[in-house]
Amino acid sequence: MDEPTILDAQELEINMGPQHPATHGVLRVKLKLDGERVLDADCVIGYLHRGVEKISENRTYTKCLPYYDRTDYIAAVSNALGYVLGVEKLMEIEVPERAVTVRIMMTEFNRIASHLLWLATHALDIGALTVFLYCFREREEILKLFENLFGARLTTHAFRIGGLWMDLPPGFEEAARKFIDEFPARVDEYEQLLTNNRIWIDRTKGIGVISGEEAIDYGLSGPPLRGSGVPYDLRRSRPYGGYDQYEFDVPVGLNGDTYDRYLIRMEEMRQSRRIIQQTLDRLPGGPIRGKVPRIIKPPVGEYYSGIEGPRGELGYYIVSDGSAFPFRVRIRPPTFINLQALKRLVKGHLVADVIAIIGTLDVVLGEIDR
Amino acid sequence: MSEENKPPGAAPEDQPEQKKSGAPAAPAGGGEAKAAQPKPPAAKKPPAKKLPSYEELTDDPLLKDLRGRFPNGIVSGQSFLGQPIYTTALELLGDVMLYLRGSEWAFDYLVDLTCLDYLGDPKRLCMVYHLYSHKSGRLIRIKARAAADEMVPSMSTIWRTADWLEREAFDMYGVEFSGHPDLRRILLPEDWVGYPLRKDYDIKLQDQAWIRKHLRIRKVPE
Repeated sequence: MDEPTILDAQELEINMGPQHPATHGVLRVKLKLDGERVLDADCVIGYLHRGVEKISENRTYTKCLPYYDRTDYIAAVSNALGYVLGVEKLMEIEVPERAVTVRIMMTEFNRIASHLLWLATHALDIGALTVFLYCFREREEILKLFENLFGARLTTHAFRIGGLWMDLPPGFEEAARKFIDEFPARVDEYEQLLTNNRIWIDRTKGIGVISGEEAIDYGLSGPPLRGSGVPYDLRRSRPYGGYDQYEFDVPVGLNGDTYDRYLIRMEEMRQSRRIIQQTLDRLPGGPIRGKVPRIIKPPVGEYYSGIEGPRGELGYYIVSDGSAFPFRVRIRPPTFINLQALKRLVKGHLVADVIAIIGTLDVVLGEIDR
Repeated sequence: MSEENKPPGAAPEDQPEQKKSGAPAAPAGGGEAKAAQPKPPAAKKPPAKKLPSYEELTDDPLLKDLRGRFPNGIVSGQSFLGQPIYTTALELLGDVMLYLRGSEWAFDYLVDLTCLDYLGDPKRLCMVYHLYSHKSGRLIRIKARAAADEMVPSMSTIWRTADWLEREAFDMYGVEFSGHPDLRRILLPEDWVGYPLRKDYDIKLQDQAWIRKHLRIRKVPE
């Protein structure tokens, strides 16, 4: 180190990001390199910090909701679900069966859309351009469904406290059915391009390996945790919002590497489709909104509402002081906690693998920075 | 407070009026008022929904075990909407957490770590931890109160998750953690002044000097 020779490269510190296409937002990673090998990595975050939690304390319970769409903007529907479930629990509001079913349907559609965007960009980062185009084709169909129902494609403001804003528009069910009928063939198509692809396997197998025990210690959740063989899916472990009535499998990995996490997300898309199929088959009629008071004023108390977002455990810890404004809304951000493990995952890998590992953690900076 | 919440719940329209007629009676006379006060709630109770409230934990094996092991450590054990809350003394927080992780309770997963600010209370900060056990599938909440200048033991040696979460609590609330390997701001710039999530930090209040210096905005809007 002190006297660099020709053979021994000097330790080098470089910045990756914040403006870097493979960091999926404004993430800056300070890499300490020995040649191509990563010795250490330090994440610098906060570029997108907007103080959503502080804003929440100054808005009524209803007015908070649109802000959460803008934390994880890829999975806005899940964000809304976690919050409304929490407030409904505090207020003891009964949600009609139809609204419950539609909520599950839309959340699973969102999971598919989110995983598609992940697959598209992850493959693109590693160099498989075709998958990107295919995934965006299917994602577009889901976004059209969102636009039909919610009036927006990304920042959906999907649900209301007590139920839904509007009932399903005419033709929605047919369009949804058409999508889920076609979808399995599409997933097979992506898998054909990647699963047995030599380059893909070389770039992902054995990259960013983490054991189940260590993953728990790091607090990982979602596919990064399940990839290491821990069957922790909140839809199963602590069922919420009616998920206990649906049949689906929770895929887990064996090796805890990037390839396993890829396989898990592919399988999760198929399982989400299975859940949507069930919601469409049983979709009951009736009202879409429960009895909700004009002013939402939960009693003094607190509730932690955790849901399985596409990226992991998304929690809302809502504390009420009895007024119309929340005393505190704490968002437990899944990717903030998952990103913490980046330092551990990239150690010893090449710079090119850092990009694969950032991709496999599926980070959304809007949620990390809030 | 709880009376006020009932009408929006499921109460018929005539009830707020009942309350109004009952309210002026209260300040009328010292002794009589006390006798008059319990009456209106008693009359209202049957039609109104029972609101969720904090309930003392009874027959909770974890609370019993903790009380036995840390006689001075456990302040209270409550539950709200079925979620158990254990409040511990700050001095013994580290020991309690170490025990919860290492013993057969096996709370191996720190779900979340955050802070609440009760302005005006001598122990204004309230640390909140959510723990989950992959073995038993239980989710619990641990709380500990601290004064603004008190050191809180860091959990980063018990759960790695705590590292960034404690940095965030430091960033937003100014909680000082003893034993944290790298305590610095995480979301805000390092030279920012103030702790935004504290209750005395107004939402419009910003570190104006910082903004002037770094964003080169001369006139910062009030």
